[in-house]
Formats: sequence, structure tokens, C-alpha cells
Amino acid sequence: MNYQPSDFLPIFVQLAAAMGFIVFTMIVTHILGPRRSTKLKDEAFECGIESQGDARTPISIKYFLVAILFVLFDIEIVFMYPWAVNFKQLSWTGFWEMAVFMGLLLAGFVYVIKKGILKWEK
Amino acid sequence: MEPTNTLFMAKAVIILVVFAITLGVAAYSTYFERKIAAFMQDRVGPDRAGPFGILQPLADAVKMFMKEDFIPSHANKWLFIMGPCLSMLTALMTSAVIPFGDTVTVAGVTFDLQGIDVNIGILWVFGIVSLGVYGILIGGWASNNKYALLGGIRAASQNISYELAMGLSIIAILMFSGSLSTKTIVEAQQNGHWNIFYQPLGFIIFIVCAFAECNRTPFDLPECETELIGGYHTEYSSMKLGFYLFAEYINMFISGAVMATLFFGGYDYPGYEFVANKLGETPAAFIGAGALIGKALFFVFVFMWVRWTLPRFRYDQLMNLGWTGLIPLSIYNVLVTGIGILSGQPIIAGIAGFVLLILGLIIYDQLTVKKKIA
Amino acid sequence: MTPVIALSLFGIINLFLGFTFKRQSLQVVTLLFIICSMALTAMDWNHEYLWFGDMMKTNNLSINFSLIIQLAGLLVVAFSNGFGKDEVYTQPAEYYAILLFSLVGALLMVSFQNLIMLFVGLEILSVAMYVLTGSDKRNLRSNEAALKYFLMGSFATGFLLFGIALVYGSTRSLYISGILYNLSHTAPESLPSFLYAGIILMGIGLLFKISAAPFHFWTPDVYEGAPTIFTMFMSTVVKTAGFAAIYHILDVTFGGFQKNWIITVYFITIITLILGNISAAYQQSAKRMLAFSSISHAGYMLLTVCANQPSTSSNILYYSLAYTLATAVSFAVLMVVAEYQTGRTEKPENFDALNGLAKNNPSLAFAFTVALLSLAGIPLTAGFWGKFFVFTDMFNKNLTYPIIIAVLMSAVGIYYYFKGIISVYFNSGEIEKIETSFLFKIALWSACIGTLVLGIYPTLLKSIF
Repeated sequence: MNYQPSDFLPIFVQLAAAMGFIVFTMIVTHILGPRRSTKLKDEAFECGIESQGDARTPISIKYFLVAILFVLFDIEIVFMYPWAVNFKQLSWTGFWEMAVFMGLLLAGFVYVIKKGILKWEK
Repeated sequence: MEPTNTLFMAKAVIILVVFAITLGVAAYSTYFERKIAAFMQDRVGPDRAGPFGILQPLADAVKMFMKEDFIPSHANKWLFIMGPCLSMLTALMTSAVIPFGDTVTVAGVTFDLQGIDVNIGILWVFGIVSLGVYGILIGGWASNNKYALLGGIRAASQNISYELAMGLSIIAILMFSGSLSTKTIVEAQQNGHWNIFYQPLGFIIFIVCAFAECNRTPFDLPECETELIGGYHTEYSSMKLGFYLFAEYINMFISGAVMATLFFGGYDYPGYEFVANKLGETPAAFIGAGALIGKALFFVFVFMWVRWTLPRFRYDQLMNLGWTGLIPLSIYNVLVTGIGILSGQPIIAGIAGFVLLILGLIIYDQLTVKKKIA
Repeated sequence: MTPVIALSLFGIINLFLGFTFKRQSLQVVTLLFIICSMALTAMDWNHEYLWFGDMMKTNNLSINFSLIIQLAGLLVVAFSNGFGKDEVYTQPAEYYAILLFSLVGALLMVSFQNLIMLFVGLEILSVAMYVLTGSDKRNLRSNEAALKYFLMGSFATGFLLFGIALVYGSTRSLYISGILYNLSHTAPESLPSFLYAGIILMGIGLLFKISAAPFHFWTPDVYEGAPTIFTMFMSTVVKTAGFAAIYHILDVTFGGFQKNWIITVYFITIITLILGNISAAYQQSAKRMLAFSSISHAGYMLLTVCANQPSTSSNILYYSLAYTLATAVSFAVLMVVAEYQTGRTEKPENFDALNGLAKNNPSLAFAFTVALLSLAGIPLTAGFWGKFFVFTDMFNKNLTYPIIIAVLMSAVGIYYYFKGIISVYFNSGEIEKIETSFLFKIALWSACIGTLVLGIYPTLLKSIF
């Protein structure tokens, strides 16, 4: 089977349909709904208690660590996709090479876990 | 040029039909969710709108449309609007690469029941799904509400964590099929050689990740009402809220379809050959499309079933499961699969791998138990 | 390239040892690791090997460079003392691991056969250095230094990459051998002119790393802000590896185009010499003075790159070794004194903090003096011969004016190095006996003795290089 860039063309139909649906819905709901703005309603909702400051606050560093780790591991996983597709041709050589790669990946992984990246209480 | 054009038209029709099916299924999922919830809790559920409350989704839609389309004054207006739209868009874009059926001939045109058959089909799904987190993150951030922000950040963190294990669990499938095309993956599973029989562990990992990616219970921490009011959609109302909820149901259906494609033979069903011989290729393929949708709907049911069965995780438990549970397991799965394929003894390798895994877990448990006592 | 693999593995092992080992034992383990990889390096002696798909080549020259780099690493680890007793804020296992990783980068830089390898090596080395520079997390100056180094360093890497791209575009190869082949089979007129821009850009990227003026602005601040032990590492390992790379690029690969880059490099050399030495003379802080002195030494080494004689590689080697030993010792002494003086005087890294060191710590004072003399280039130390060989090269090439400037600047150098010696021996001050660890003493004395032995008997190593 030959794959061609033109295989992707029908995706524009889907994109157009999805966009059309979304834009249509947004406009319709905007027109149909009533509009009653009050001062209290404009405030951020915090269970009825008067809201303090806004939400542009620093976030726990743990989330950033998770994000950075994700980038690392995701890129390593991306390396594995072409390997998996050609797995049978690469045979044992490829397997052991990938095993070494995964070993290093896991070493880093174990290190990070032991270092306490998932200890959310700290 | 002429055949290409007809083919394009056929594909466009398929895409639009699938699009309509997706929306319909998503709309009725809300109804069935409530019905199933009611059944499990020994209630009646919605029964006023039409017979058995069958028109409830329509009533819901009308209600959503008529509600005030409210934007808080502190929010970033355009991002606030963009959040749900993006969520919806990514949810709607995935279905194109799912093969709904084999080749059919309608009105003299022969084509596949698949929106686009491309050589990177599965990557397309992953790419779009991972974009989905932006919708939630942008919405949560733009609301300028602390709860919404927390919900959005949680969602982002959870989605990216589970994406890793999900990506790894796919790799074993790719090793079997040797292709990223969803069509090829399905074709490799015809006649009952479903991947679930070769990849039970991979499937378990995948379905758990699918729950997390769809923000469904037991992983619905981004919108967990006991801690975060409504999570990332605290400030949303009207159809914008509707989009978030809708996107979730669409994602459920799509992930069900993806699971059916990857692990349950796609449009394959027992007796496919027999039907094809008796009735011809085209009806068999259409029945296959029905089978695929049926499988997907079954998974949607599983999603709901689990929602009313399991309690919610705590956030650190969720992250721990994703990082220390699923990722090592899926790497192990890849290794065992690799050995199985290369040695030509997949069953022996599988059993040995399973035994080793259980042994390893027992030993690990013993070691940690000793540590806890000491 | 067994040491590259070995060092990478050792680094990973080190990370895990950090969970169980004490910092002193980590230090010993790291020393053993480096010695082990030095042995692995030396095993390839007198052989020429191509590694990793012909992307790297080891020969005697690269082995010599590798050994000097690892020796510098060895000294740094020995001087590190397990990074003090601060249990909460220092992570010795990680520091040692990063040191080992950056040694890997340095080894790639001295043995590359492919420009991509040069880039990879440079990045491994630099990224590790950015992290180490900012490792004193509670110190604002350290943070500032790390950020400065990072921003400037990434810029320089950008220049290097741009240069690599241009060179690749004009020679159709990233392999040194391929570049040489294509250059020799193409008429000079038909070479695109952006090749020369590429050479200069690559040169700029590397000159930044060895902090040659006018790309030196980061050096004083970064050297001052970084913890002293990592300053020591930076000024020895990065400089040696950088010079190996510069020699490889400018002299070996593009030696045939000397007329195209020589003017630029001359200009840079002379500015480096003048700026480095004159600014060093004005410094109050000994650490900052050593930073500027490292700039000036880059100038001397660049002289021999300009000369491009057959003996250039061996001269760079000799100079690097002499400079490494002397710098390591001077930073080591400065480090222990500054540690002692912290809290006692306002600026523990100033010359004043060294006042009266000789009274109760004669050995530290002596080592410091030997190191400074070697840096100044006084006879009977290794530094003298380093400069002597460089000047001989220049003389053979009939480069009279640069020699005159270099000699004049050496005279300026004597002034500021002697400032240190004077405060150690002649100024009065109260410094009690400073206790140092056994390993520290061994490293200090062997580096000192090495400096003296090389100063008295230079042919000992000159015959190998």
C-alpha cells in the first residue's frame, strides 16, 4: 500500500465540520442566552466567600517537575516508536540495543522516584 | 482526476457520518449515564421527557443553549472562550483515522470505511489526544479562579503522566503489527487473532490510562467537587460548560473505539468470513462497522460502570500509580513481548513473563513488609 | 572511547551511590572512577581507533588531552572534600556525577571527527557547567552567575551551530575527513564565501568557551559567583577541552585557510592578552584576579594556535598541563582560606583575606606561591616552559610584535601574581592553622611537585607530547 500526502486531504472535511459545529454553537448560545450582569456574579466564585486576590499565583514546583520529566520521557518514548515499527527486521540486535536504552531510561526513572519527585506532602 | 474526486467525496461522506454518529453517541451517553447510575443506585432516572425519558438529551441541549453565556470580568475573555472550543475540537478530530470497516462498494465506488487511512494513524490519535490537555489548561487558567487553576494544572499534570504509560503500552502492539497505520493493525487481527489475547497486560494499562486521559472516575481529580467545586469548569456556564462535558463523552466513545481497534480486532467479529461469503463483502463490512461501534459502546458502558463502582483516588495515589505502577509495567510488557516475538515462542514467553512478574511483586512485597515492621 | 562509556556509567552509578554512601566515601569512589577511566584512556596509547561510526578518533594527541582533562577532574574531586558538611543544601553525589558527565563532554570535544560530535560534547560540558555554577542555590551571586553563563553560553553555542551549518553547506560534509577531502578537491575560487564566515563563527563559539576577549565578559562574574571548587573545574577542564577543539578546528581542519582567519584571531589574541592582564592588575578579589588571569592565559595559548607550527599541539598540551596544575592549586588554597575566613572578614575571597597565611600554614602558603609563580611564568616552574615554548613557536613564525606584547603583558602578570605572594608572606594577619583532609594534602603536594618537576625537567613530558 502506497501512502501519499493526499491521504490526509479528507481531514480538512473533518476540521471544517468540527470548526463549523463549534463556531455555530458558540454564536447561537451567545445569542440565545440572557444577559444579567451583577457585581457579585462578576467576582471569581469561591464558595460564596469574598474572593481574595486573583489566581495568578505561583503553583507548587511539583507540577513543573512532572512536566519536565514528561518532556524527557516522552521524547525517549518517541524514539521507541520507529524501533517498534521495525522491530522484526532489527531482530535481536535491535532488541538488545533498545534494552540498553531502556535500562538507562529506567535508571534515570528510578533515580527520580527515589529522589522523591512524587512525594507530594514535602 | 474523476475517480480521485469520487473517492474524496466518499471519504467526506464517511467523515460526516462518523461525525454525526460521534455527536449522537455522545449526546445519548449523557442519557445512558444517568440511566445506568439510576439502575445501579436502584432509582428510576430521567423518565419525563418522552417515553423512558428518551428525549432527555434534547431537553438538556435546549437548556444549555438558553442559559446565560457568562464570562467573569476578571477572566481573559478570548482564552476563556477558546478553552472549551479547543477541548471540543480535539475531541472531534480523532475519529478520522479509526477504521470503521473493511472495503465496501457503494454505487460502483470502492472505498474503505475509514476517514483517512494514513501510515501514521495511531500517532495522529496520540497527537490530537495530547493536544486535548490545552483546552482544559487554557480554560482553567483563563477563568482566573483559584479552583479552576488548580483543576487545570491537575488535569495537565495527570494527562501528561498517563500519556507516557499509554504511549508505552501501544509500543507492544506496534511490535506485532510493524506499522503505525490503524488499518494495518486491524487487518493483522482478523479471524479472531485479537491483540487482547496476546497483550492482556497492555490492554489493562491502556484502559487505565484511557480513564485518566478522559478525566473519568476514579481519576476525575481535575473536577473533583469535594475539593475544587467544579475544577477547571467552575466558572463556565451555558454551552461552554456543555462543550467540556460533551468533549468528555466524545472522548470516551473515541477511546472505546481506539481500544476496540487496537485490542479487540476493530471491525472483526466472529463469523465474518461466513457472512462475507453469504451476503458479499459490502454488507459484511457494514456489519463490521456496527460491530466496532458496538464494542466502543461497550467500553463506554464500562466507563460508566466503573464510575458508579469505584471511589476517587487521592492525587498522590494517582500520580504514584501512573509513574511507579504503569510505566515500569508497560516497559516490562514491551520487553516480554519483544522476547516472545523474537524467540518465536510468544505463549511460553508470556507465561514466563507473567510468572516472573508475580514472583517479583511477591518478593518486593515481602521486602517492603519487612521494612515496614522494622 | 571506552572511557566515554565508562565515565557515563560511573556517573549514573554515582547518582545511585548517593542514596547510601557518605560524602567522604563518595569522594574516594569518584576518584577511583576517574583513575579507572584514565587507565582505560591510556590503554589505547599508540593506537589509532575510529569510534561510533567514525565520528570520533582516538590517537596519541587526543589521549594526551583526555589524560590532562581527567587529571584536572581528579584534582578537583580530590580538592572537593566531599563538598563540606552542609547536609541539606549540597548534594555531593549529584555534583560528582555531573562532574563525571561533563568530563564525558570534554572527552568528546578532544576526539571528535564529526562536527556534530563537537557540538554534542560542547553541550554536555556546558550544560553541566551551567548547573554546577548555580549549585550554591542560596547565594544570589551564584544564581546570577549561572543565569549569565547560561544565556551567554547558549548564544555562543548558537554561533557555533550556525558556523557548523555554513561549513556543512559549503563543504557538503560534517566529517573532518570529508571536509578536508572536499576542500582539497575544490578550487579555492569556487568555494562559497560563506565558508569563511562559517569558520569565523565556529571560532567565535569556541573562543567564547575559553573566554577570549571580546567574548570574555561572562568570565569574571561567573568565576566569582560559582562555588570555588567548580570555578577550578571550569577554568581547567573547559579551557583544556576548548583549546583542543580550537586547535582541531582552526589548525588541523582549516589550517589551509589560515590567511582567512588569522587576522581575526590575532586581533582577538592581542586584545585578550592586554585586557586580561591589565584588568587582572586592578582586582581586589583574588578569585576575580584568577578569573582575569585565566583570560590572559587563553591569550598565550591562542598565540601558539596562531603560529600553527608542527609543535603547536604539544605546546598547547604542555601549557594546558602547567596551567591546570597551577590553577588547581591556587584555587584550592584560595578555597580553604576563604572557607576559613567566611564570617571573619567581610570579603573572604579578597587578597586581604590571605594576609599572614604563611605564619601558621607554611605549606599552604608555599603551594600557593609555587602556583602563582608558575602562572606568572617564573623559571623553575612549569609555567615558564609553557610560555617559553609558545614564544619559541611565535619566534619561528617571525611574529615579532605579538611576542613583544606578550612579554610585556607577562611583566604585568608578575605584578598581580606577586600581590598574592606578598599578602601571603609579608602582610600581617591572623590566620590559625587550617585543617585539611588527607586527600587534599596529597593532591596539593602532587600538583605542586608536578609543577616544579615540569619546571626543572620539561623534556620529561615534552618527549611524550
